[in-house]
Amino acid sequence: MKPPVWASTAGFLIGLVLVWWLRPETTEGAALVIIVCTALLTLGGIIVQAVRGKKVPPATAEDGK
Amino acid sequence: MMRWFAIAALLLLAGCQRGEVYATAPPPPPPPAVMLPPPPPGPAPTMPPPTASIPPPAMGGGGSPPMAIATRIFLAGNEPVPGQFGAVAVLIFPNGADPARMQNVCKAFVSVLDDSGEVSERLPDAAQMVTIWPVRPGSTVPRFGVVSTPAQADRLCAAAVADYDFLRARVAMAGMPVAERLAPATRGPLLAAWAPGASFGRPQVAILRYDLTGVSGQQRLIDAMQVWRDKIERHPELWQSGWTATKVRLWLSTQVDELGAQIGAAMKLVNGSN
Repeated sequence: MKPPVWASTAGFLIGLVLVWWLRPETTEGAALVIIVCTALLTLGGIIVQAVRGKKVPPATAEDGK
Repeated sequence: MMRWFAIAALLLLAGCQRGEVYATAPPPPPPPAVMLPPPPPGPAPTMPPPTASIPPPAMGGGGSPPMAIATRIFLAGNEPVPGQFGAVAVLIFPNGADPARMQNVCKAFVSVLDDSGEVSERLPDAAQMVTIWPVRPGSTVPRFGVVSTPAQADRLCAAAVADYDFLRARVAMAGMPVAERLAPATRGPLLAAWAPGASFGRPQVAILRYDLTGVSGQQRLIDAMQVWRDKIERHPELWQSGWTATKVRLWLSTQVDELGAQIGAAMKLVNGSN
């Protein structure tokens, strides 16, 4: 399944903001914040996409016209 | 997609700049917010005059004097707490505390809190909330002393850490309700304050506490000590309400650094074994 780009980007940006707020003293700490935020938001995006995908009604012959 | 990367780069740049400003020039603390008693005759005080008057905080002491100046003292185990301070606090480490951590905490202690002896020359003791670093009886650590250079702080703290009086710390903690004590197997330290100072160590008295277990790193310890000084001693009502954004940030930041260091060490271990 293709991961939603908007969720990854949002996670990355939230990670950056958190790094700015927390001001970790080590590179590992800053990287951890960004990676965790990006991964969590990506996962959330995939779940949202999967749930929405299930709700979409199947295409009919009329839709193609 | 390029637009997102541009926004991210801008945010990162702005964050770095804000962080540098914070690290090099923290905002000055606000002036004391309580009305101090008139100073004794003598040299004119250099402190700015109080700007506002608020009633003294109700801390279970009944008519306790207002607290204004956070100070520090190295007190030997067999010496009584001198003076009639507005409040008395103790910096409590558990037995077997890490000396390197104690050294960092001590540096924050001497750099943030004013020397009690110097303040006593200008203001009555009742205007002070003194925090005690307990040292063993017969220790050569001077009770008072202004520290002006990092080298002086290093020397003073090396002696203060070596002579830390764990027994007095345990006695102080024994005077606290069980729920307020330092949890077992934690690294501390715990800052605990009694007000008024005459009630020091007595049970059944309201106690202010700040557990620094979750805070590490020299700058963060200094920040935490400033929280103790600025917000808690001057506005105990904020302290007793539980948490503040600064405390949460310091704790989270420490956890992130420690977890990151553990993951980094684990990855190095895996790479090294291959």
